[in-house]
Amino acid sequence: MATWNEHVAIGRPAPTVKGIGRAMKAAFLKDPRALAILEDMQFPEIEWFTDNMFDRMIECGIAEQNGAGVAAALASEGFIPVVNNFLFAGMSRAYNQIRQSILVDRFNVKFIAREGVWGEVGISHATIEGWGSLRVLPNLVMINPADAVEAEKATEAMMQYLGPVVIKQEMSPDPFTIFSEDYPFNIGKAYSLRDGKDATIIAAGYLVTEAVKAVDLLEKDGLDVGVLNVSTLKPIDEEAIVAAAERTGAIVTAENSSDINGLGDAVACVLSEKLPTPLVKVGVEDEFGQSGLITPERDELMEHFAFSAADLAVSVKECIKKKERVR
Amino acid sequence: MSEKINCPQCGMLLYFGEEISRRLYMRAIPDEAAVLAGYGNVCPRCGASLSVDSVKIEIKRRATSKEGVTHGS
Repeated sequence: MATWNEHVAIGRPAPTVKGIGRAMKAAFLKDPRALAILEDMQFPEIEWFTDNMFDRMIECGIAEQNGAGVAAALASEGFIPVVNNFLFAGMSRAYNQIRQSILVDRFNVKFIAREGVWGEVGISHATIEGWGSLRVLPNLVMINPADAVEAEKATEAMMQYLGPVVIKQEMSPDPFTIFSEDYPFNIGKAYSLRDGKDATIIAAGYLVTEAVKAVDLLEKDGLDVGVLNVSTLKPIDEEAIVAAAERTGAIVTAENSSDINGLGDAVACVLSEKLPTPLVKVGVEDEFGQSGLITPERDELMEHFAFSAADLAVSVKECIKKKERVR
Repeated sequence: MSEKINCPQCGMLLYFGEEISRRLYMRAIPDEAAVLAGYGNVCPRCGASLSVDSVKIEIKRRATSKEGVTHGS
C-alpha cells in the first residue's frame, strides 16, 4: 500500500457540501454581515439556515443577473453576500454583471458554484466549461476542494479573505476523505499528498480521489507516482508545480471540467515558461457535459469521460513514455 | 499582471488580483495600506500585526522595455 505525507488520512467518502455547510454556518454565526443570496436554489444546510438565518437570506429568484447586482450592491455597503447556484446559472448567465459590478471594483462577494460531469441533471445543467471561463477574470480567487475537510477549511478561509472568491461545489461521486482534521489549508498553496519519483498526478476536486486510487494501481506495476493537490486554481502555486516537475519529470493533470483553460492548461502554462516537462491532460475533451445512468453497479458518466483511476493510470504510463523519449 | 499579499507569519492570502498601482484611473483599491486596513491591520487567521513593511508583497509581470522588470519578480 502507498504511503502518504503528513496530514493525509485516506478515509471513507463524504460529500464536500457538508464541509461547505459546516463552515458557512460558523461564518454566519460569527459575522452578522454575511448574507445568503438565493436564486431559486437551496443553500447548503438549508434547513438550518431557514430555521436560524431566515432574515439573512435574500431570494432573487431565477434572475441571476439581478442576483449578481444585488450582491454587488450589498457588498458595496459592507455586507458579505454569498451567492449559491449552479455555475452555469449563477455565474455564466451573470458573467458580465459579475465582471462589471463585482470584480472590477473587487467587491467582497463569495460564490458557491456547482459544476461537473456527474448526475442526471441534463445537458443544460451538466456544464463543464464555466470553471475555465472564470479563469480569465482578474481579481477572482478560485478554489476546488478535494474533500469535505478541505471544503470546510477553504470555505472558512474564503469568508476570512476580503475579496471575491468562488468555491466549486463539484458534481461528482462523494470523494474519499483525503485530509486529517489538522490539515493546514492555505488559499493559493498546493499540497503534496505523496512525492513520488516516476510521475506526478496534479489533481483538483474529486479527481484527487481517483488519483489516490491510481497510485495503488501503478504501484503494482512498479511505478512510484506522486499526487499534488492543487485546489486553488487562482492564484496557482507555481512553486509547488515546478517542484513536482523537477522531482518526477512527468506530469499528468486531472480535473472534472473542460480540459481547455482549466487546471491542465494552467499547469502547462507554468511549466512551459519555467520548466518544460512532458505532460498529459485529463479532463473533458471539448465536448458538452450530459446526463448518464448512475447505479451502484455502474457509473456511466465516469466511464464515458474516462475519469477512473484505471484511466488515470493509462495517462501516467503514456506520460512516462513521453519522458523517456525526451531523455 | 497580478499582485499577491500574504501574512508574514502564517502565510494567509490577504490580497490577490490586479497589481494595485497598475490601473491608470479609478482604482478599486488605492494602495496596499488600504488592503491591510480592511483587516484592521491584523491577520484574521493568526492575529499577526500587519503593515506594508511586514507583509509579503509579490508582483508578477513580464519584463518590458520601460521597466526592465523580470518575470515573476
